[in-house]
Amino acid sequence: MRQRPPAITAALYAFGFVWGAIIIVPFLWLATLSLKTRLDAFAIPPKLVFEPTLEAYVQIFSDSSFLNAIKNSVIVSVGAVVVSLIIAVPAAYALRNLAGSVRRNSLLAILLIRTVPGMVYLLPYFVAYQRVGLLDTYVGLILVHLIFNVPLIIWMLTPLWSAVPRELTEAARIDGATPLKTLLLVDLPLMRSGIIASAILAFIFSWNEFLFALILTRRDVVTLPVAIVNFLAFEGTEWGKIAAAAVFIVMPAVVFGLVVRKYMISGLSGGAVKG
Amino acid sequence: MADALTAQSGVPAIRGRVWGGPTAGYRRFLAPALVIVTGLTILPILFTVALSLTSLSYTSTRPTRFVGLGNYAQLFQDERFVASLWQSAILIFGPVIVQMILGFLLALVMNERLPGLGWLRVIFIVPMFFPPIVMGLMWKVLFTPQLGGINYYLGLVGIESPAWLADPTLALAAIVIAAVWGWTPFVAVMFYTAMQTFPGELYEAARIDGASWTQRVRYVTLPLLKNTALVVLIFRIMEALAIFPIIFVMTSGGPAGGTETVNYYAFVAGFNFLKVGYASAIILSFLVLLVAILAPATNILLRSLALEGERR
Repeated sequence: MRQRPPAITAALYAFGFVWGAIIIVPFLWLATLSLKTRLDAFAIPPKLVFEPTLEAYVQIFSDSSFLNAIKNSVIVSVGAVVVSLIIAVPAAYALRNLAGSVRRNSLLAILLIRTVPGMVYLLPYFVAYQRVGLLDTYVGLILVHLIFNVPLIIWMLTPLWSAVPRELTEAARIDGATPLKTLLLVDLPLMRSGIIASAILAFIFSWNEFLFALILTRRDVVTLPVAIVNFLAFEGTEWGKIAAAAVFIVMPAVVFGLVVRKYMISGLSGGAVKG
Repeated sequence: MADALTAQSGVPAIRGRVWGGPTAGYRRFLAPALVIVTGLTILPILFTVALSLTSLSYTSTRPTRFVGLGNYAQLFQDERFVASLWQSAILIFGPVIVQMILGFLLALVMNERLPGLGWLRVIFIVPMFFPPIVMGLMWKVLFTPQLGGINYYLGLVGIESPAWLADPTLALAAIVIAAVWGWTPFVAVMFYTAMQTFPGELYEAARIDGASWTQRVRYVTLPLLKNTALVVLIFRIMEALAIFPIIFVMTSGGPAGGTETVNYYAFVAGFNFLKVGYASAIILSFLVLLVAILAPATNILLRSLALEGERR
């Protein structure tokens, strides 16, 4: 695709830059809002040059409910990732080593789960959690995170793992190693970077999750996406504070995301599109 | 699903063999994940089905009773439900169509590896990691008069302050814009990844035959992209209503219910009106509809998964 008429090249450049701007400018707007005083935030025409203040950040980091939400988000996300890995890594390993039909049906079953809108799960979990006292608990929230994180990790690892040569696995098996030993000593070390990448992606999904947290938490276990909505509801005019909280929530997700971006496709598509 | 379960019951047979070949024992690694995932999903879905047949409501003082298909019958007379179906259709297909077109163009740009645009390949995908709630918040800020600047700059080109989030049509447009911003990168990256696997010889041959750049895109890239496009389309439709947090924070389904999707209505019915039985019927009806629409298309997914399964 090297030879292009200059007009096409120009058009591609133009489209690239325009889209780049469309991505960056809205976020920059939000980020600058977090650095503006109230007066500057509502200035007309909008102040593109202003004296930045960290006041909003000082405020959110001295707000105990926000600090609590940070703690909760970390606990829930890390907890969900660890449990998901324990369940999903052996499964992905099995799928890589199993024959076509088992593998296909399992992947399909796991995929179908994704078709179901979260709201279908939310109602029964709410009713059940209320009965058994799991509302507003870490365990309750981590449990529902498994619904999307276990499939995510399986989808992501199965194709990655299938691309790793099986000779070493088979050699170890023929030498008499059990599947568990083979996994721990031979295959896990080979898959290290893929597993870390899938863990990061799962972390981002847990970190960003909103719907379940909104309904299944009340006060103690409120996570960051819900905390920011509470800001909006109770301090709807404190835009600087809301913007600062938003920037803070986005940052880990974006930074981690960029680290693993080349692995992302197999995770999000279940290997349905060759990556 | 049935096959997945048979797969588990096959465990003892495998274990019984003296030397089961290289696949022996692996099913035991798979079983926990299948049991846990189906347990966490199938059981709640069955529970939702059961709930949808009851009058369970946390506001009602009357005891919960079995109402059969009563909730479903009520749906047909519920104008709000019918409206939410239309709005769902708009908010599913509107953004998805735009995402597919823009995503394809973006993938073309990325695939050309233009000098000086490398950084864009990184920037392009940043929205994929954004919490949807922050996406919604960001666009709410942008569309808020004074605060957001959009209306100020539109004013400079002669468009007088549209009331974005207060007018039902404009509110739909605002949500579509937010959804396009958020999920176009997914489509673009999927297309780009597929394009990278297309054999260079085809393009070379087309070029030697005198095909122009646009002809190569039209007659080589597009046909090769057909399967990927279908898979991406299915994924996008399946996940389109994940814009829930965006609607929640931008419009809360308003104004006047104008941006309320089916899942949003189920949310309101279940957690604001506390009519859990009715809310279950709403969301299950939608699930059935979604499955009916997507069932023919899942064949395609099945085939591409089948390929994946047999590639080993």
